Amino acid sequence: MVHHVKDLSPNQRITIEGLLGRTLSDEESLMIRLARILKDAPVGDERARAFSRYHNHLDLLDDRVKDVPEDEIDAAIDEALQAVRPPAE
Amino acid sequence: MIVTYDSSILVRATKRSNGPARRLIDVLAEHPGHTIALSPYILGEVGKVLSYPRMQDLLRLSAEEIHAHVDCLRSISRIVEPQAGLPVVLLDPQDDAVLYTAVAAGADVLCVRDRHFYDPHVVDFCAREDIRVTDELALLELLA
Repeated sequence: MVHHVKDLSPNQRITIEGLLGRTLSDEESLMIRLARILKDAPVGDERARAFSRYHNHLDLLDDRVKDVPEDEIDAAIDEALQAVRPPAE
Repeated sequence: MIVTYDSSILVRATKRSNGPARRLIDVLAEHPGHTIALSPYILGEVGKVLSYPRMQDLLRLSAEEIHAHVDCLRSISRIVEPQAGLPVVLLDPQDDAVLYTAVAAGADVLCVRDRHFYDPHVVDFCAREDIRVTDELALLELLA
């Protein structure tokens, strides 16, 4: 969705300049892209707990491959990634 | 700093506690100002990679453990549903889902290994969105 600044109404222009924190010039265009935040990142204690739980899980996985050579793990990861998102032809 | 990781980085965080991908997670965890931003697409890929037979041979993860792993990732992250835009990663259009995750999240950094993201056309697009494209080693240096 592209809007030319020169086509904006005065009110639209003032509102957008307020959001951007700077003035707009007539030669500029605006591209508006919508996005949906499904869940925001945790903060404070919740964040610390969530990272702790994730670290514990990573440690568990790390422990299971501790005797596996690095290149063997890398090869398995590369193969899995290629299978999940095959390169374009 | 808001960082979007490709699944290739996230999966590598599982393999060695002193590897770069894992160290990146540790650095981000230590700094509350940093945010990991992902999408259902990226989380889904992580789950699929962990379920892949050769990965299963190594990790021996149950379905519950895979689910728990993805849930852990979800719990530490901002999750966005990107709106598809014009194709950007022309060499591999599937990569656009990752790129548009970073755009939707307002990410400062897109941390990826795939060479398609380093195509000058893609890097230019990201620069216009104020997104830096980098791999895990360069991002570690940036955060040091």
